Amino acid sequence: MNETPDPLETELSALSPHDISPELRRRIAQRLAAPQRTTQPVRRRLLLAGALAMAYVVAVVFWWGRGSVHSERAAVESPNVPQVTSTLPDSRAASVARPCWEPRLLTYQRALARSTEELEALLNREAAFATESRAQIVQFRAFTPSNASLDALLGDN
Amino acid sequence: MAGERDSWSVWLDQHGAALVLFARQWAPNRADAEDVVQEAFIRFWRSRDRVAEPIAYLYASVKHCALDWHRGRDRQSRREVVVARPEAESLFAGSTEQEERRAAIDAKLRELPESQREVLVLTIWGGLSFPQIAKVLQISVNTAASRYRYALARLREQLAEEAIR
Repeated sequence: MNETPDPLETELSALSPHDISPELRRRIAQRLAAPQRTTQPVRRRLLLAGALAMAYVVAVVFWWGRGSVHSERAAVESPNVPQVTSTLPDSRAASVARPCWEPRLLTYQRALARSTEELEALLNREAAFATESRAQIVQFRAFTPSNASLDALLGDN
Repeated sequence: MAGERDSWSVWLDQHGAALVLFARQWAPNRADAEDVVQEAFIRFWRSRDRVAEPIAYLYASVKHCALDWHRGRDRQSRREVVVARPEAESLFAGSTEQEERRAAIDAKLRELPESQREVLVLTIWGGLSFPQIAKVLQISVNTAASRYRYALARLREQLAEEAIR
């Protein structure tokens, strides 16, 4: 082990860096005397809480907006859908009378879940209703020329 | 409270000058280096009880704060950096008789690679052992020792060249 001190090391050790200024000592004393600042974490927490509240408000507004759009769309898709007032006898009309919009897949699924008979009954009702509505369309056609009127138009008298 | 004050004063008296010198590697002047040391020392003092090696932690805090400061400084305009003229302020105090030699060491020390210079500063003026330096710089003890040797050798060589001129 080399115990002889390196002359350069000795020379360097003899150099002393500048002492710290009294100003630095005063500032450190001041900072350490003051209670530890907690404003930063508190501010961060407040900001986080604010951001969460804002996100919640935005989500609620978005949800309400979607809800109203859906209800408007529903109103547009089935506005005042006329109820079919059938001219059939009461007993038959009762079995056929239903809103004229098409049943959804869910309706069939629910019926099937209950029983196959119920699904069959539903399908029958749909079929009967479809027949009736077609008959009504024919009945209320705006232009229903008879053979006689057609003959008259064509001058085949 | 008085006891605590004495306690931090003792730490500052013992390490303050070396801490400022250590910070000078990244801060171009004394005032900036003192700002860095102030911030690092406050952090150190408030969390000193939670660390195993307080001295290593103190110097590591200074380096961390100095690098933070330096990154912030880099964002400023180049003009300001030029105006600061880091070489204008000497790193060491001392009598005027040795002014020339001191200035030469000062200049050659600044020319050392940062990795060698920081080990040299921590060893000579910080009084840290190689294991402590290894902790501060997060390097192995052998690396710390070899960097110290390289730094001394390079400094010696450059000072010899300077003497010949």
